[in-house]
This record gives sequence, structure tokens and C-alpha cells, in this order.
Amino acid sequence: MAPVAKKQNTKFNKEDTRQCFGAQIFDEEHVKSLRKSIKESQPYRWGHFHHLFDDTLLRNVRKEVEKEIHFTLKETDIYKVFQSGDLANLSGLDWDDLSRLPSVFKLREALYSQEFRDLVSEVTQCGKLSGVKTDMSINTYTKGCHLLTHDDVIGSRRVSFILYLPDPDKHWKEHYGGALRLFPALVPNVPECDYSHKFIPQFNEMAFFKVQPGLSFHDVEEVRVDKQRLSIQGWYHIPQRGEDGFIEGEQEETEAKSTLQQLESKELQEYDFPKEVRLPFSSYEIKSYTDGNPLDAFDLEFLSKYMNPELLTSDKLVSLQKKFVEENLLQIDDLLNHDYAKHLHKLIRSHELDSVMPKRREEVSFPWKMAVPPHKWRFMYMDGKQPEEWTVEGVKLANNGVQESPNFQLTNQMAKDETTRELTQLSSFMKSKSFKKWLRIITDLIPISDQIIVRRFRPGHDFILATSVDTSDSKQDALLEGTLNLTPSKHWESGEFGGYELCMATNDDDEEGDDPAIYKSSADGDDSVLVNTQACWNKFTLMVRDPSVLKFVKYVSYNAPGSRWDISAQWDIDMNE
Amino acid sequence: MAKRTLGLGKAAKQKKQKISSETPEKSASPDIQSKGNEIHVELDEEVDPDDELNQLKGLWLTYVKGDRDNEMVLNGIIHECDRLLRNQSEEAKLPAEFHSTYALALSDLANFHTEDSADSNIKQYFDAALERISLGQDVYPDSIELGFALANVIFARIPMEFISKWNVDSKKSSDSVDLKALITEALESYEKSEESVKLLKNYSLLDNNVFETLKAFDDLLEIVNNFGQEDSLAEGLDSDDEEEQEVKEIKLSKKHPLYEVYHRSSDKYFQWLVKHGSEFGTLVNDDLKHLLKKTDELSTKETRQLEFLKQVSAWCGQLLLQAAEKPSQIFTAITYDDGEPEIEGYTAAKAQEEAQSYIKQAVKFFENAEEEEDPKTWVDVAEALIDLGNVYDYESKDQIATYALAEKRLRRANNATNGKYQEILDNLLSNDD
Repeated sequence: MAPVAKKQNTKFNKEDTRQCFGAQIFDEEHVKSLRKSIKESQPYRWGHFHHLFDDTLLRNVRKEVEKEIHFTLKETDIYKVFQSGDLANLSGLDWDDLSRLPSVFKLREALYSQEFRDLVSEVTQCGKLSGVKTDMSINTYTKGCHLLTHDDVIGSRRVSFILYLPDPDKHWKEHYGGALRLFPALVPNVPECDYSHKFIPQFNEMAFFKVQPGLSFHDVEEVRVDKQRLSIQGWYHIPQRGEDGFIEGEQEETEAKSTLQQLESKELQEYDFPKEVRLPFSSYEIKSYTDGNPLDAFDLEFLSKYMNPELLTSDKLVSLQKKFVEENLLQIDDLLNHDYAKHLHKLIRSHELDSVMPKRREEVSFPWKMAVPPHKWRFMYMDGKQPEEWTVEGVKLANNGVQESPNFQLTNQMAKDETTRELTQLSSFMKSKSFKKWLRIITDLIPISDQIIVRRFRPGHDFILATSVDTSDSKQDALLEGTLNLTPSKHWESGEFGGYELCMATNDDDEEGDDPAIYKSSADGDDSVLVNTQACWNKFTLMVRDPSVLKFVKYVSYNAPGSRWDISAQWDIDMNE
Repeated sequence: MAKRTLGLGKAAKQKKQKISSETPEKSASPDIQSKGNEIHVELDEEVDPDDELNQLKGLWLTYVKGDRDNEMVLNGIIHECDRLLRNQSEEAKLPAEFHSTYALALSDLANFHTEDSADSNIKQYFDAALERISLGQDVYPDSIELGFALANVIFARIPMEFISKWNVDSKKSSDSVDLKALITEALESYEKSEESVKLLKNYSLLDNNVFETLKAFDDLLEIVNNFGQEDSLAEGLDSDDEEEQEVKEIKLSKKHPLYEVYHRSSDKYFQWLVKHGSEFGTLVNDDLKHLLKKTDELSTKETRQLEFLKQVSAWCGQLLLQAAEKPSQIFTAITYDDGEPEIEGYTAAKAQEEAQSYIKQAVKFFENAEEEEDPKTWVDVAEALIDLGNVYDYESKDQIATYALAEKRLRRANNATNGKYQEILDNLLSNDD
């Protein structure tokens, strides 16, 4: 948590404070109309100040920041942003910094002054705000930087604000990206897939909103061009003990509602789509490959239709098994045979080049569906099951009504284009007994249930935040997991465009005491990274995954050469007797 | 047999424990460290990998392919050149290509020493490069490679060694460099080598080094054009800012060391670049067409060559579009604005003809550079087609057909890229209204 600021001796009086601000800010009419517009705002209570600060002061702030502050790139599953290293939190500013950053210091005093706090409190009607607990940092978003959907609810935060400082002499255009986007919630704690409102940043404008548990979902749209979107971002907190407006127990109550805890809550998983449901195989089927039968003539012919024949020879099967048993991991290049891969490559690539990519949930048509909610993931997928309606009633029905098993062969009949048809065929193939038999041989494990999902991660939209697997209903405390990478476009190797699937080990030893704001471990330069697979063509990654492994798919950049496509599979497993 | 550990995470933890209990002190073995410094040198399939000159060529290629930013490789090349030179015997003289590679490497070394305190350092690298060329030319006076290399080194040294030290108020002194004479020397050397290539009809000599020479001259002209306004271009450039960030010409004093080049010769130099740049593109075009037509899978060398030739083609396209700017503007001004019937000696018809000729060539070059995998290359063609449409008569059949072709490509590129080209497309469609 941010440290409480040192008590400053420099006191600004009311007049000094007001001089820091733009001329109209404290005008009664302005306050009135702002309060009204916030009251009527959608999707939740938010507003913005235009020309908030005195222009010269803010230009000086920008100059000081440019000159004095060093930024480092931080990237995790949820963001990519340049953070100020030495001044990660401006509440830590002390006398040494005062000489280097006089305008920044003045700005902080003004932002947390009684006058301005009262103003924010008045227009948002959110109650009193703390003047001792200051909490702000400087970030810069350059091309490719983003921050995915979250609700900001941590600890005692009451109001979030972002003060924008892009180039003061240029207009920030919408297509540069970097907007603050607000998401309505279907029900509390479940944001809609797509944003409903957005605020395009301009110099000396401040966007702010009341932090509302389960409601105030927002993101920072990726910056798409080579520009700097500099901002000072922070929070007003609930009054602390001894301050005007302090209420015993209020902070604890707010903390209890924290997003992190709610992510864990069982109830809300009703709204997660696709669900992690693995369908058990019949005992007859399992028995047929438990006996250790080798691949027979039928299997070989069947598998060769899709698979690279080199992966079916006895020698190769032995070496694959040996490696997998040792390492719990296999990365198989060219799983699909040359001719089939060429055919599929052409289909997928021309599909993404020649048909319009669905951008919002309602544009996605069955058998494709949209993974929701976006504070966990967003991507297009096919699971071979019936469509679900994204309404409160629809979700209830999906959870409690008819529970049919997936059937890619049927889905195939509904597909409107050849690419979708071929992908459902391939998914069917992965559900074949011959394929399971091959899996059984190379893993020396017995697959007993499965879930197969075709996924498309669209540039500028999609990702999966880090999650672990649920093995509570499994025989073993681990799952077999495979991803067949089917991304047909090139130039993903550097990871610059995201789209990589990364697994890392959780460190259970030092979980206590971490800043809850950084609840996702850092991905860069971390020795906890177990495997990182860039989006690529025709590569099959197979692993045994236990609950200590976190996995995520990094947000795919707007500037990526195409979508990341893959087929993701999970199997419950049994050990050989 | 030990019990199997199920799970990637659990196994990693176990391994970690095992490693930390076995090797408590050592953090990284020297093996691993040295591996990070290993360089993979790619040689063409058909050459003898034991031949030292082939190895040098491979090293140079590795350096060039790595965006020329690996000083270690460059130092390696120079050491290798030194060694070959020391071991040179009377009977087996090193070829001209050796001298040109050595010279280019020395000249590139200056890039890594721009921050050095002593200015003479940069000069020292360029002087050494020029000396190497001169020594090579003593043995091979008609060498094509050395002729091109000489031009390359001169184009590289002018901005780094001279222009970078000047500001708008600089004054010529008695020992100031004569830029015009230097440039003339480079251009003549290039022309002489180009002439020899044409006589020999050996267009494979027009390789990346020669292309880099043209690009270095292109860069030089850009640096000259932008002289005195570097600051205004500090932020990243995006297409939408072109209007806002248009480069304004400044006025230099006659005593300024750049005066002659900036005010008097830059148009002439640009014309030279257009002529010889497009000539380069045309001369290598047969090779490009041959590779494009090939239906069998291309070898690594062929793939690399195709990639290179497409880059050349795209560059030529850009260059010709730039050349078309002036006549296009004149044509548009005379035809659509109420103004003079003649501007800078151009009538509307003459300007139109010249603009069309340049842009048609540009379209061809861009088409050759088109890449099924890369929507940006389709947009290059589309944008050139829009430029061409703009210099056809208003609502003529040609104009309508050309815009339609552009629209088709733009629509596809826009689909493929998440709407990245919506603005250009909207612009084109509103033109149609």
C-alpha cells in the first residue's frame, strides 16, 4: 500500500491553491452542471474536467517529468506500460525531490488540497476524501501499451482520476488509441464484453469516476501509433482515522468487496463462458487404449489424414514418450501433415484477410461465440455446444437448463464458411479414439475426459489473464493440456505483438505481503516462466499442468499481423497401473 | 524407477530444489554464458564453407541482416580482414570484394562511436575506409565493387563527420570541406561502376551493398532538406501528421558550408537519385520476375534474394512517387485552382504527362513488391493508384477505373488489418462523391 505522505511545511493557502487551477473550475455554475452530468452519466458515475490546471503549471509539470523522470517498461498479463521507476508513487515525494520537481510537487498539493477534494466530493457525491493518504503515479503509454479491464477496487480507494499530459500543442486523435473506456456491467462484478463509453485524452483534461465495487470496470485502450500518452494517475481514498469524515469500519467493509476476492467467488463463475467442463469418456472407450494396444492399421490411416506421418512411427513414439515423461512437456513442430497444413493455412489466412473481423460481441455469429467477462478474458471460440444468450435469464438457462455435450460434427453443419468448417473437423479429429490412443502412447497417461475449444484472439481485442486449473474433480492433481497453434500470419517471434501463451510457476512462499495491485506476477525476466510459446503455425504444445502453474495468453496488439488462432484442449488423466 | 512427478509446476519446483542443493554457490556455468555470445553465420548452400572469403562474406551478411547493430560482429569482421591481409601472399592476392567489404565495415564502425569524446575518431574510421578503397583500387583500378563502395563511404561520412557539427549559423572557413566536390566524386564513382555493370550485363553485382549506397544518398538528401529543423520532428511521425509537420525551407547564408548543396544543388541531386534509383530497380527487375514466377519452393538464398528485390522495388516506388509530387501539384494547381496557365515552366499538359509517367512506374514497382502476407504492400499500390487517379482528367474513364482498383485493394487491406486504413478509404470514397 502507498505510504502516507510526509507532512509538508510548505502550506498553500486557499488563494494559492485556486491559482493552480483553470479559471472556471470552481465556478458555481460549472460545479452544478458537472454534478448534474455525472449524476446522469453512463455506464456508471464518471465525469471530466476540461482545462483543469493553469496551463503554464501543467506545461512545467510535463517538462519536469520529461527531464527528471526515468520510465521503465513493465509488462504483465494485464498491462504493458512505462512506469516511472524512481517515483513509482508520487506520494513518496520528499524534500530532495522538491528541488528537482517543484511543479510536480505543487500539482500534488493542489490535487489533494481541501478545496479540490471538496469539489471532487461534491460533483461525485461520493462522501469525504482523505487528504493525508495521497496515491498517484506517472505513467506513459507508447505504441502497443495498454491496460486491460479492471474495476480499480482495492483497499480504501474512493475516486480514481487520470490527468492527461500528451503533447500540449497537438490534438490527440481518436485513432491514436489510448482512450479510457468504460464498461457497463451485466450484473455487479460481471462487465459486458465491450465498452459503452470512451474518453479520448487531451492535454490538461482529467477523467475521474467513483470507485464502485463490481461496477466501475474500465480499461486503457492500446496506443496504436508512435506517440506518447503521458498521464498522472491516482486515487482519492476514504478519510483516515483523525480526518474529517472518518467512519469506523468503513475501509474494512470496502476492502471486503475487493475484486480479487470476488474473482474467487464461486457464484460468479456462472457468468464465465466458456466453462471449464471436461466430458468423461465411456469406460469401454477408455479400456480400449488402457490395455496398451499399439496403433493399428485403422489408427495409422485415420491419423495420417491429418497428422504428420513421422509422428506415428514406433521410434518416434518411444522418443516422444521418454521426453514427455521426463519433462512433463512436449513442443511438437508440424503436428499436421504437409498437405493438410498447407490447405488449412490458406483457408485461415484468406479468412482473416478477406472477411470482416467481428469487433463487438453481437457481431460474432454461431458456431463462434465470445468468451466473457472481459476482466478475465476475451476471445472468439467454438466449443461445439449450443449457443447461450448473454442476458441474466440466458445465463441462468445455460447453467441450469439443457446440458448437451459438444458435437463438432453437428456444429460443422451449421458453419457458414469453409474455414470454420475445417476447424470443426479438426476439433472432431482431436476427439477421435485414434488420436486419444496416440496421446495415451506419447504421454504414458490415460485420458479419461476432454474439452476441446477452437480459439481466435483478434488483434486489438483479445487475451486471457493468468489463471490456474481446477483439478478438484480430477483423479490426479494435474491435467493434460495441449495447444495446437494455428496462427497463419508471420512476424510474431519477438512477442512485441503479444499473442503468446505463457506458463509460469506460482511462488506460494512469498504470496503474503505482496501489493494486491500487482496480483498478476510479472512476466519479464522472471525465472518463474516455465514455457512461453509465441503465436506460430502448426506447433503442438502438450504439458501436464498442475494447479501451481499459471497460464495466460497475452493481449494481441492492434498492430499484430493477424489473429492468433489455436485449438486448446484439456484432458483429465489417469495413471497407468 | 523413481516415481513420476505429474505436473510442470511441481517438476520445476523439484528440479529447483535439487539444483540448489547440489550447487549452492555457482549461479551460471561458463558454458551457458559463452553460448549467449555465439553467432550463427549463414552460408549459401553452394559455397565451400571452409573458404575464408566465403566465411567473411557470411559474417558480413550476418551483420547486415542483424540490422547493422551488432558491434561485436562488426569487430569480428575487421579482425578477420586484418588477419586475411596479414596472411596474404604474392601469388594469391585478395580480391576486390575483400577490400570493399573491409572498407564498408570500417565506415560502419563510425556508427558505434558517435558518442566518443574525440571527434577525430569518426574521421579516423572514414579515413581508414577510404584508404582501404584506394589501396584496393591500386590493385583493381576498374573494380565495380570498389567504385560503389567509395560512393557509399562518402555518403555515410558527410552527415556524420560534417553536417552533424553545423547549425543554421555555421560559417565556412578556409579549411571547410567542399561538400559539392565530395558529392560529385561519389556520384561519378557510382556512375562509372553502374556503367560497367550494364556493359557486363552482370546484374547480380547490384546487391545489397549497392542498394545501401543509394539509400545512404537518399538519407543524405533528407538530412540536407531537414537541416535546421530536427527538433520539430522529435515525436514519432504518423501519416496523419503529414500536413501538420510539413518541412519548411529555411534560409541559409551564402557563407554557410551547406549553402551550395541546400539551396542550389538539392533538386539536381534528387533528379540524379530518381534516375539511378529507378535504373537500379529496372536492372534487377528480370531477376525479381523470374523469382516471382517460380512455382517450386524457393531455396533459402532465393527467398532472401526475393525479399531483397521486393524491398528495392518498394523503395523505387516511393522514390518515383516523390518525384511525381512536384508535377502533380502543378497539374492540380493549374487545373483546379484559378491561377496561372503555366507554373515553373510547366503547362498543365506537360505536368500531367510527367506526373503520370512517374506514377505509372511507381505503381509497377509497388505491384512487384506486393506481398500476399502483408497488407501494407497492398496499400502502397492503392495509394500510388490514388495518386495516379488524381492526375487523370476529372471523372475520366481512366480516373474512375484507377480509383476503383485502389478501392478494391484498400477494402481488402482494411478488412485484414482491423480497420487501419479506414481513413484513407473514407478519403477516397468522399473524392468519388
